[in-house]
Amino acid sequence: MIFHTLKEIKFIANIIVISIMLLSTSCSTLDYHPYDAYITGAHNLTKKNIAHIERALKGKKSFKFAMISDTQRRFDETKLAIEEINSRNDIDFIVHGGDLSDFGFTDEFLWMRDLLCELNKPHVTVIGNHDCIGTGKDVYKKIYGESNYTFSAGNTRFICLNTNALEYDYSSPIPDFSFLQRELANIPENIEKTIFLMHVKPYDDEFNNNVAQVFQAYINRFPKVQFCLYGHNHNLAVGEPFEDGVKYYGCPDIADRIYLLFTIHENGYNYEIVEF
Amino acid sequence: MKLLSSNTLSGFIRTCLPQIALIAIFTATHAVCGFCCMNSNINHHISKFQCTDTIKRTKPSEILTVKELNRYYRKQLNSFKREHRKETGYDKTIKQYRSSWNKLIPSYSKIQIAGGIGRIATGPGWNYGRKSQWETDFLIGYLPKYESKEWKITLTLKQNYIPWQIPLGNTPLTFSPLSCGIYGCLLIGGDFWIKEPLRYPDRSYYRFPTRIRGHIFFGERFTLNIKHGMSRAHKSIAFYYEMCTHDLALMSLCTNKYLSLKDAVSLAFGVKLQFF
Repeated sequence: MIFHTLKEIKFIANIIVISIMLLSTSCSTLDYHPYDAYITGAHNLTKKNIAHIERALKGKKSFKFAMISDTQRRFDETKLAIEEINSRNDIDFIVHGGDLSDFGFTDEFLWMRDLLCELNKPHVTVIGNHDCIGTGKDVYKKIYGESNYTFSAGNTRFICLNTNALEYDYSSPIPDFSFLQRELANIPENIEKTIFLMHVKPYDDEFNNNVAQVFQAYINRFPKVQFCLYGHNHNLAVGEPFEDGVKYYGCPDIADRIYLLFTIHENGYNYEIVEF
Repeated sequence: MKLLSSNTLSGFIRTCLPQIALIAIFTATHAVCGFCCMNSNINHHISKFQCTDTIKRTKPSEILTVKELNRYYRKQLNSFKREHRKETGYDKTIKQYRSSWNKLIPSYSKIQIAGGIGRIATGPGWNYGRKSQWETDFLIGYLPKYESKEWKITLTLKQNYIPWQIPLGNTPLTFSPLSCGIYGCLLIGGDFWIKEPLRYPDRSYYRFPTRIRGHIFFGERFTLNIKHGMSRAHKSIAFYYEMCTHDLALMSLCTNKYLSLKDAVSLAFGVKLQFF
């Protein structure tokens, strides 16, 4: 290689510098495939957040939690909700009703994870039907953990369930009754009440409706069921699908700019619908 | 200890095998293409040599007899007749057949890292256009399983457009300030669909294929032109980088201010080995 003039060297150097600048300004990580399930950064968040909640609310009989749901591809509204929730001091933790992603590709989960981690209080999530697309189930498992889990907030037991039966095509038990059986057998001594959190409510297209009654029978075996929370339907709803006194609260999607605020106290609970 | 080492070894082989296989495919296509080029060159040379050879051999200083001379001229005449006989339809067809298949000989091979088509992808490609400004690649990629359940193969059809090629002074380098195009990537393996599975109502629940992704890219490349005769099979080697994004990321980007271009765009690197 022979460079004849200083001008040529300068020209080549300029091109290389411009290329590097372009690369560094617009560069992000390498993407092997949208559905590559390649996860960097924080993971196993459910376990970490549960530990925070249980520690903070130990021995308490009243607390407050907010619920948001269906934040898929709604980063702007989710950001607003987070700012709103962060500006209050009375909320102990936040529950997410599922559908963190819209298409289930890995980056979507990472973007939403990073956004939700801006919450200054711990948050827990359930898996939504959109989170099951492609490699979503595996990504959810890595980032958050198991899709069926329980935790205690003071004297209240939260049972978080995967109810997206349609996504599994009967290859996995959804809802998982053996899990519920196990939890029934291992309820901690201080627990007085139970709250259920799921993405899809019974009698929805996505639910395994063949076992809807059985599911409700299992729910009623838990100590003092307060209510069930769900998302998926993108609208605000209160109902009693089995007419047995167990209320189902449907959280609207985040585009409606609404979050639900539940206050649990010794003699019961009240809820607020907060617009932001 | 022995068991452990054998396990890790088999694990290593299992994880690396697809990559090794891909590199083998790459070298094989490469070798075949290279061989084709060399072969055609050799044939060309042989025919040239034969002509000069016969004249040389028949020119020895010894005096030839008339019989010998006759035999020589008859031979020359026959070969002339054979070469210049009237072209039949059969000849034409065969000629056309050969030339059309010849067009399908790949003119280069590529190897690419990332870009949404696997960790590593390789395959042949074709140049065309007046200034060879168009390129079409067919790439096979390997996607490791990462957090998902199985590793996958990708098939990619990529269309490139490289409008400008600027020689850098007196150097053997050429710089292309823009290469852009689109590609479609088909994912093989895993739980994906082109048409939604029958379990979904009307097979139109999500309304997008998870198995096929469309991408767009912009990039630059440097080409090192190899001096004639310096390489046995290569005319030039190009190094390129690309900034690419896919349809789902673009959709997320367009509907949210929260996401920046940096989130949606990822980098890819590659090498193109030009045979002819």
